[in-house]
Parts: sequence; structure tokens; C-alpha cells
Amino acid sequence: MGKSSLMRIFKKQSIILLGLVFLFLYPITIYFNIKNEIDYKKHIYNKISNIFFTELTKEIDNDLNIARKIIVEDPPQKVLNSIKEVGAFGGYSIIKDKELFNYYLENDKIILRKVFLPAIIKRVSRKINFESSFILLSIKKEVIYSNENYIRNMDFRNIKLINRDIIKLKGKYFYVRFNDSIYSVYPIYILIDINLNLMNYILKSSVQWLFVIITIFILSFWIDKRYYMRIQDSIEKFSIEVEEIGNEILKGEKDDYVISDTNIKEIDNIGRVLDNVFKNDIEYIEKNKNLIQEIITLLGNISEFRDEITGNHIIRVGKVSEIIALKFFNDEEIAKKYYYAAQMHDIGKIGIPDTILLKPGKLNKEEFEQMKEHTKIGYRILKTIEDDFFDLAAKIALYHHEKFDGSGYPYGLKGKEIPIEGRIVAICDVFDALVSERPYKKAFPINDAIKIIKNESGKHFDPEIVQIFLENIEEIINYYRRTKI
Amino acid sequence: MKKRKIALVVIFSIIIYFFIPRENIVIVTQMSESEIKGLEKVLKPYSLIHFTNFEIKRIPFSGHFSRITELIDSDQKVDIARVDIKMPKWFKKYIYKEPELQAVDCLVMLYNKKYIDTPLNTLDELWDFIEENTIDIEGNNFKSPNFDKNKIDKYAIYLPYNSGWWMSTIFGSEDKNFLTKNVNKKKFIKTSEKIKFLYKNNLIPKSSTDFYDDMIKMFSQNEVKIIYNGPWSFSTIKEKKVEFGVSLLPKGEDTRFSPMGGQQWVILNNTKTVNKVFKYLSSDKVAEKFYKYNNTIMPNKTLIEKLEKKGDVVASQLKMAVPIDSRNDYILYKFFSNDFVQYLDDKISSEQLFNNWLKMIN
Repeated sequence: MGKSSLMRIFKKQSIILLGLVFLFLYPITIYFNIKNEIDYKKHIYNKISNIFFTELTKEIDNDLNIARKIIVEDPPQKVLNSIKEVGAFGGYSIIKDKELFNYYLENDKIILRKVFLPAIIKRVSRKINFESSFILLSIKKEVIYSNENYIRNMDFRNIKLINRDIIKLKGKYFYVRFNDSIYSVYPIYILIDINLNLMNYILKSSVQWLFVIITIFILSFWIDKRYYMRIQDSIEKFSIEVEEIGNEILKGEKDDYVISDTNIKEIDNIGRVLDNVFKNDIEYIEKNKNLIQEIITLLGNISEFRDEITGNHIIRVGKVSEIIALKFFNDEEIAKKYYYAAQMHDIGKIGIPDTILLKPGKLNKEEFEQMKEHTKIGYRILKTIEDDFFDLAAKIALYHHEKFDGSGYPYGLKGKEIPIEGRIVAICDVFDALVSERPYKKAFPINDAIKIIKNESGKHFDPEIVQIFLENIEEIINYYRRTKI
Repeated sequence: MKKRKIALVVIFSIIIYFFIPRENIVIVTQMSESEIKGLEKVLKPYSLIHFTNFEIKRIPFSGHFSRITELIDSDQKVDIARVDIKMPKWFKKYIYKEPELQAVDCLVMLYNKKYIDTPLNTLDELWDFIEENTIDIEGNNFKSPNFDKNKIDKYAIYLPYNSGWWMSTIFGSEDKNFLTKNVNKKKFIKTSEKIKFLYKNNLIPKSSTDFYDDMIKMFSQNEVKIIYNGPWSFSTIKEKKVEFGVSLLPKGEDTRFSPMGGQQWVILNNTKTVNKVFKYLSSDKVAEKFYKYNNTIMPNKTLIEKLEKKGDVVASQLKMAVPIDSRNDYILYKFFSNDFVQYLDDKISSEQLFNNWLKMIN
């Protein structure tokens, strides 16, 4: 797996995001697991209740048929009302003290029969092999029977339904169903324990989430591994190609060649630098044969490339740096080195995550702190090659964000404490950024950019370098016009 | 900044919305389970806007006025109830305000489309259909000499002979004066004998007092091809996945008699919120929703005509339905559950049966 470490794939932000998604979805998962289970049990218990009530009705009817008939000589008005009302079909039942009183009309006389319900209920539960905890209540919500002792004396009148058919009693959830077939005369509620154990659903949801997270991790590792291998392959191909071209140029066997694009911006930028070197400085290549080899090796070791920088930007920064360095040092060889070295000023950005580097909006404090690190990363990369040219490039990479007034980074150096390499490239980098269009800003007109540079003299930039910059502004503008900025 | 403020206000409002206390309104109804789903859909938008929770309690249709008083007497909250329009006088002391009609209904014919393409138009066609489509376990019908009436496998129709409401559709269709003192004796006896013939030959299923559930179950399980039922049953049958058609009741010698019933809302707890809910439930808008979800119809002449034009059979049948008052309802019940069953079991003669009816109706 090499560099594909967990923390590299899952940056802090990704882990926080994953955590938030988990926190949001975890209770929802538990909720839906419980809901599915309840819906399933409701469906089953609805059928069980039907069977229970059918059997109960049969048993009550049987017992009533053999019960003693009492002629009610002076029936209460309420009973008379009930028997004669719509749909009563001449019969009415009242449950009182666990006894069912059944009144009906026979030859214009009111007859009363009584049965003791708990005995019938026990018989029915035995008959249909009913093993769950259950309770039977009258329409007045008085307990008729329960196979749970602790429920027998409960007052149900004020217990509300959680929804249409679920009720909570002492931490347990019960399915509730009324014997409500249209012509039922035995008004009884049945409550059945649905055995809802919250812990089970928490565990079930946790296992489901664990599975999801493991799948995400495996997939991410797989995708990352493929990405990593693709980059490695591209770089390896690039290194071999560049090495071959370089060797053939040195032998004088090749002068017409093309360095293929890898589609990795930084590598392609370096490819362009090498292309410039190959085309212009055969003498330099001959002198620095080992050095070129080392550059290629270095490229082979770089495996993370993400920044979105236009290739032209680094070339323009290189060119303007060359112009200023020539005036400052009055030495063409040094100026030439600046041209190439300045092009690698942002190479450290390869160590900054995409989320920060490609963020369209303003960076927050933490992100900006991470962004600042690109100067040090660039320095470390370029410092690996022991050579004056790379020593210059490393310094440019490290100091090009320092400001003359000490407000820059990474070290907050002030004035001449900032190495000259940094002071020169700083102005070139900012000027190019000002006159270039970026996703988050429009390009400034060249005159406005010059004004800004002037204003920043002594603040951001070394006044001496600003002076040289201004003195050579015409040459710089002409260069920019030529490159169509 | 402005967007952030708006987002905060929205989030805060949502939180407040969920925490605003809701008033609990208890509605007691004798609707079927499927009809309650329709009622819940009707109440849902109201509860969302008016911060009201609805608790719907189902009670059996049988003796529902007495059940409601039992609930009230046992200190259970009942705010609104849906009751039959044949409200007994003694119940009036429990209600506030005049009841508001929820829907009227009547019986229509429901037929299983799997077996019947064209619905039957007359009672004579129905009698023929019964003889041809009551099948024994060997697949013979009544017209076959091998028909075994003791081994019936499938019935043509479920005709609850012990129910006055259902039997009125036959007697009333043959004689429009059936419910009056001018009842035609000849027609009455002829109809009684026809039913007795079906009963004795097991051409109609035996009925119990709980015939309604049996009837629905047998129709849902394709054991009978035709039933008479009201629009309140459509949603239940649809849930059972039966493809059924609805048609007018078969015409007898005089008419297509269907008894008209109805349901109404009553207030049992006179609070401001309850009155608002009551007003909502009685509105035309809600009546339309009830038609949409439960197929129940308000007796609004324009609406009925509109529905009739759209081909709504219930609306057409309602136009010729006969309102049944409490007295006639009780007479029908008493006569058919006692006298008529006795007649079918040969305990009384047809002459005696007619005399009993005449005595009751006068």
C-alpha cells in the first residue's frame, strides 16, 4: 500500500464528514429497522388478533348458550336503549368486573346471560397456543385478563396510543387491537407484547453501519491504489522517455523529439522545463549529465500531484525573474539559472490536499496554515539534489512568500533577512498572479497591477527590487504581450 | 450574512413548529379499517396547519351509540363521533349542536369481474344466475340432475336473508309499497317463497348474526360472485385485490329498491377547537375528499348529478334510494331476524308471515 495510508486517503475533513453522515444516518437506520420490524409484527399480530377474537367470540357464544337465562323484569332504560338501537340486532353486552353481561330480546322479553371472561380467555389462549404476553381490556379500559401479573392492576384510562395501534406500558411496547368487526357485540381490546428490544436494533444497525464503513474503506483503498499505480506508471514512462531523449541529445543523435504529456500537471510542467533545457542548453546538459539524471530520479520519487496551475504561469514567473536577476546580478549565467529555478517555486504544492488547493472560496485559518506548508515541502523536495541550481530553486521555493515587512511566511522574515532569491521571485509571482485570470478573480489590467506593486514597495516587496522591476517594466510588458496575457 | 440569518430563522421555525403543543382531539367512529385510512388522509392537512393531534377510536357499528356513552361514562375523552343518521332520541342529551351530515349511502350490487362481464339487470335474471352459478364440488349447477345441494363449493350470491336492510332490496324492488300498509300480499308471499326456495336448496349461504364479515370474506376469496354492499365497503374490497364492478341493484317488478342510510358527525365535547374541527369535517371540501378516499357521497343534488354524469353507480342508485327511519329500521331488523327466519325454517306459514309483517308495519 506504500504511501496510501489511511490518513492520506481520509483527510481530516473527509473523516469529519463521514462522522457527521454517520451521526445523522445512524439514528435514522435504527428508526427504520424498528419501523420495519413493527410493521411486520403489526401485520402478523393483526392476523393473530383476528384468530383470537374469532375463537373468543365462538367460546363466548358457546358459554352463553349454556348459561342460565334470567328474565329481566324491569330492565334499566340503558339496556332497553342499547338493545333497540341501530345495528344492535337485539343484543347488547356489557363487561363489568371481568364478567360479560349479555342482554337480548326473546319473545319481547329481555333476557340476561352471564359468563366469566378470564376462564374463557385462558381456554382460547391454550387452544390457539398463544404464548406472548397479552392483556385483554374492556371498552372502559378495565383489565379483564392478563398473563402478566404486573399489569393486572394498571389503570389504562390515561394511557395514550403511540400511534394507531401501538402502546407503551412500563417500557414495553404492545400492539393494540379492538374487536371491531362491524357487528361485534363483545367490545374487547387485546394488547400483545411485540417484544421490541431496542438494544437489538442498535446492535443490528451498528453491524449494518460497520459493514458500510468497511466497504467504503475497501473501495477507497482500491480506488486510491489504482490511482497511485496509474501515476507511478505515468512517471516511470516519463522518466524513461526523458532519460532516453537526454542521452540521445548528448550523443548528438537526436534533435527532433517530443516529451509526451503525462496528464499530471506538475510533471508536465517539469517536462516543459526540461524541454527548454534540452533545446537551449546542450552545454549545460553536458556539464550536468548526472544532475539531469538525478532530476529524473527525483520525478520518479514524487507520487502525489494535484495542483491546478497553468504551465504558462511558471514560465512567465521564470522569465520575469530572469529579467530582474540579470539587472540585479548583471550576470547572464545566474539570470539563466533564475529562469529555470523560479519555475519550480510552487513545486511544494504537490504536498497540499486537493480540498485546499482546488477550493474555489476563501481558505479558513486552518486550511491557510496547511497551504503555507507548500514552501517548506518544495524546499525539502528540491534540497534532495546537491547542486547549486537546486539549492537556488529550493531557496526560491522556501522564501517566495516572505514579505519585506515581516508579515509573510513561512518564517516571517523581515527586510534583508529574506534571501534575495525569495525577494526577486516574490514580486514576479505576485505580478503574474495579478494580471492572470483565476477561477476566483478576474485579471487586473497591467497598469493597475503595476500600481499595486508600487504601493506594496517596502511592505510586501523589497523597494530595491521594485525599483528594478519598474525600471524594466517596458521589457516585462512586451514579454507579456508576446505571450498573450 | 443575510443568507445565514434566513437559514437560522428557518431552522428555528422548524424546531419551534415541532415543539408547539398540539391539542388532542378524539374522534370515535364505526368506520371500517380502510375507511379510517381515508379519514386519516382527510385529517392530516388539518393537523399540520392547526396544531391538532387526532386520536381515532374504532368501535363496532353494532350498538355504537351505547358504546359511545360507555366511553364517556368511563371518563374517556370523546370530542367528536361519527354516528348513524338514525340517531336514537336518548342519545341527543350527549350532543352539542345539530349533527352535520357526513355522507349518505345505499346498497348497490358488487360483482366479480373475473366471472361476470355484464351485470344482471333484473331479479329474474338474478334468480337464473343463482341456479346456473351455484356449483357443487363436482362442478354441477342447480340445473344439473347430479347437483348435490349438500356439497356446495361456490355460491352465486351472498344474500343475508336474516337482515332486514339487505332483504328490503328484494321485497322493495318487487313491491314499491312493501314498507307501507298497502303492501301487496301476493307479491310479498311470492318473494318470500322465492327466498325460501333458495334457502331450502342451499342456493344461498347460511347467514349468522355476523353475516357481514362472512359476506366480505367470501367475496374476497372468490367464493361468491355477487354481493350487495354500500360504498363504504369499496376500499376494504379493493385492499383485498378483488377486481370488482359496481352496478345498480337488479330491477324487480316495480323498481330497484335500495334502503338509504347515512352517517353524521356529532360534537360530544363543546370546545372552540372541537367546533373548528367539526366545521372542517362538515365542509364541502372535505366531502369531496371523503368521496375521493372512501367513495362516500354527500346528498348534494348538484354533486349527485355531476357524479351520475360521470357514471358513478352509487350516485345513480342514491337518486332512487328510499330513506329508512329508525322505526322502519327496527321493524326490518326484527321481522327478518326472527319472523322470516322462522318462516324459512317452516315454523310459520307464508300467510302467518305476511300477517306478522302487516301487524308490524301498521
